[in-house]
Amino acid sequence: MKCHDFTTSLIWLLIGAGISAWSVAALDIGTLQHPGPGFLPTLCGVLIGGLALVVFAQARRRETGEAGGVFWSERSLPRVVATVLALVAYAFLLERAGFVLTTFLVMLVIFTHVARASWLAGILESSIVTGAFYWVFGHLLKIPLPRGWLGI
Amino acid sequence: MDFLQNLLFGFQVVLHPTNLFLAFVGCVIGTLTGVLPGLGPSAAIALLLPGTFHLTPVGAIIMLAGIYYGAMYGGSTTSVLVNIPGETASVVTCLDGYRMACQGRAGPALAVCAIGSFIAGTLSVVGLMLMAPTLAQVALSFGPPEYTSLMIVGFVILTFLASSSMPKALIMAAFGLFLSTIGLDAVSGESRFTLDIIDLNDGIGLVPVVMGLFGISEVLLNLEQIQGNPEILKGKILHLYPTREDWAKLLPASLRGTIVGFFLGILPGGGAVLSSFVSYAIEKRTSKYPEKFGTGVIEGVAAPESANNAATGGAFVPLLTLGIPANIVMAILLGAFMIHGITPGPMIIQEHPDVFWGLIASMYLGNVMLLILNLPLVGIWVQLLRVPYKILFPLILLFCLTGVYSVSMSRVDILVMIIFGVVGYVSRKTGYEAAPLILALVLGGMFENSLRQSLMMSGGNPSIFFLRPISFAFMLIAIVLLLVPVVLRRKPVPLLVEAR
Amino acid sequence: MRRRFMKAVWLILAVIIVTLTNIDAKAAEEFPNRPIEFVVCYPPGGGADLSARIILPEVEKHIGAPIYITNKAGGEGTVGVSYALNKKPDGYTLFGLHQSSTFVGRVFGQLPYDFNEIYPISNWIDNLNIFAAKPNSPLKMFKDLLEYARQNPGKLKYGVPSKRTSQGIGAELLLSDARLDIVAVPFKGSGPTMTALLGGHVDLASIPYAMAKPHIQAGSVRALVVFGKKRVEELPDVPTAVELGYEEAPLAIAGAGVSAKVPQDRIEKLNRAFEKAMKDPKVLDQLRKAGFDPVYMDQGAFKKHILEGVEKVNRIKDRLKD
Repeated sequence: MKCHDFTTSLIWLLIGAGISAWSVAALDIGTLQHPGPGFLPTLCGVLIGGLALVVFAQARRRETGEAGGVFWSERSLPRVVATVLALVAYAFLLERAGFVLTTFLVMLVIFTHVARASWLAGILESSIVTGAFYWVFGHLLKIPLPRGWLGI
Repeated sequence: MDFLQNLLFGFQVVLHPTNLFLAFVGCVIGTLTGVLPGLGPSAAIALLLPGTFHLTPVGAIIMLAGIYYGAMYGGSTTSVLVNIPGETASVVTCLDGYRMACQGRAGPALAVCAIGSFIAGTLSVVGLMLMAPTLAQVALSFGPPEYTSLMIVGFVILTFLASSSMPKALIMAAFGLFLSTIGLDAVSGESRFTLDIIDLNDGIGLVPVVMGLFGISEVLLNLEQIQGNPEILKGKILHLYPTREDWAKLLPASLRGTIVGFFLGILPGGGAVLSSFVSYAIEKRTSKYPEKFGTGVIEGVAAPESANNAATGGAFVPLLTLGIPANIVMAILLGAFMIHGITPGPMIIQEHPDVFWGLIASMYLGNVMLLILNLPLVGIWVQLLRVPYKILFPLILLFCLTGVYSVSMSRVDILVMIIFGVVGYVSRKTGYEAAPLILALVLGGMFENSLRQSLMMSGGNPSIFFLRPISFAFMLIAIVLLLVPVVLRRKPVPLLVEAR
Repeated sequence: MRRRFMKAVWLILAVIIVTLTNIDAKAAEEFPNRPIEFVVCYPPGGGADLSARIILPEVEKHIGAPIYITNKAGGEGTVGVSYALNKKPDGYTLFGLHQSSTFVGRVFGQLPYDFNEIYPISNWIDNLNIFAAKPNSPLKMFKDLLEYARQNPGKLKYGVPSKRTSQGIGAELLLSDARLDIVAVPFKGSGPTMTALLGGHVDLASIPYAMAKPHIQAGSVRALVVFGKKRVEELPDVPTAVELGYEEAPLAIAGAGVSAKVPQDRIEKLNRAFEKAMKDPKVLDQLRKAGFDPVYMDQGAFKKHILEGVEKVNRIKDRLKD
């Protein structure tokens, strides 16, 4: 795990610098007596950057180098990416296609492509899941789930 | 002995069959909303509120209150079973609860949650009944400077949160603090870091961040194992209920959690999340074996679960005595009171004794009901661990999606959750913990506001934090907490050990 | 075998989607012939939500179609409005209107939509705001405040739930008219503002009367002046800003709007339904019981009111800025 410290500390250093730069550019920092809206964000950016340097220094002292531990495995990555993409699709479809249709389609993709179920099992599973969720959230808890192309 | 008579009157109100039934319904719905990740009591209460228009005021309030404290019982279930908090107040429960489950002790962990919740729930009603008006005065003595100092104590506690690497934990905390500044600045009205997305004007929601960092990232990490089930599903289930030894540890921890939770619950904005973190920190600091925390210690489950339940009792204090809601749920309950023509405030006990005492009595009964309801459920929940992961994980994902959407009906919140799912996935793989980020996000908004309000009050003079007694006391506590490890030359023991 | 099956599934899905979209597009002539969506721009359980939930069931009866509520909170009421305006302007999507999503947002250029795209249908509720003094304060009346604040500029502090709320606008308008220098301390919402006043952490507060009512009755805070021109019934001795010779603050609004692109005959139908509902004594009674102060404004009055709001807020814009 430690072997990623060099990379992550550099990324955090960039994030910290970015936050500070953005705050200074866009917001009024104010003074110590009268901190403005940009005061705390700038401080956060500086803190992140400073701490990232500490992590970097510690990693150097350990001298473990970047070797070891594979971060991405070719066999696991596609599933993770597929899941994330399915979730993003869910977010964009939900308010257009409605809860029932979106849930069914996204669950179908996840069941068949990530969980590797057969199409038939996938259709069955996602129908049951969609129905159950619609009943619990829509009817039992009366949450106004978005309606879409199906009208429900 | 006046209050005994009043309490008796309250029980008369509650034991009316309709009210009894409504209390039960509230507890069941509460447990359900607690179990479902993302969906919290505030959404459930708000959505069921219109349905209570035709009920009597007492009945409506009894039911809605039942949802609130019932949710705290259910919130820990998913924390223990799948390492995903059902409520934001159950984040801490994941740390030791999930570890217990991995050791085959999911049953005792869940039972401890239920029992701890019962103890805390009941005791906090006693506190509410006996001391409400006095406590309201305590709450009022907290102005912006006091909040600022209290938050500083919170930040000091946060520095104990590091498990493997202190700088890494602090990076996450600083990032959480930055996240808390996103949105419209309450003092100046300026929008910050919103990228012109209007949904972000109200800030980044706590629920989507928690669901992403814990829920989604957990699933993504588990998906990497190509074959078979994650660790939790491999363990055997040893026994369902706590042993005698467990009880001996559970009771004192639960009592300490109750006290912390109740007092933090009284403070507007303090609430359940903060109290669960604080009580966990106290348990670890006072423990004889702090190094074991995070590996499945029963105190680490009992204390925060008791604290978040006690906080619900405490939160009723400012609502009932001052008419001021301490959190969002209380704000909705205030609406419920108003719609039934009752104005909570200093006069409520005289003007509507049936509502006040009925509510108190219903909370005693409700806690008993919840215990009876939740203990047998332990057996059922544990069976959930037998469901194959390839069926379970799509369900978890969908629970997170629906739960988050139901809180604010916002697509942006779903996207925020997904982004933090990926952030959590990457950061946990590289050894950065999520818990400090959550605590900093909770503390951040209040800290910044109260700091700036205090300085406005004093005209920019920071001595305001040291000249007011309560604020001074907190500052002292913060300094002592910071200095103790330095003086004793003892390395602070890491407070949180992540499940991974 | 499997590939063919997959193809079949996709084909079926495509057909379903296409047909359904068509059904939607064909939605027909007589208005309304399907459920109407009402977008409440604040979270469930708040004042905006509750008042809508009281009024809409009655509107439902008069319009002859079910109305369902969607809560789209955020951006001080603007998220919900832009969500509704992005839908087809066919009259099936209504939304709640508030000062921040209309005149206040307009003045500060914070509206993510065109101000003129909103067609205000009716206003429902007025919000009485007061300036109150902390318990055991030596300031008994507005006159005391004038005197004390003039002698001690910058010494008094008043709490306010964000400056751009109706409370903030009312207070700033009054203070600028009366040339008083009182420091504003903004809190997050009226609850924390009230707490700060009760705890004596600020000397004064600009708060909704409904919030302060129980404490005024219990004698723990004192109302000094009511913003606007209408006195509070229960407080016959407390003068209004207008009576004291100051300008009337723009009212807090809570009403309904629709896209201005909706055909006029449909807007008319909506108008009539809202008017009937808002004149129903049962609805008014329920609103009062819930602590609201119902005022009905039809489209003309409502529009005029919003435009006046723009003009007034423009005048004190700079004071509301920091």
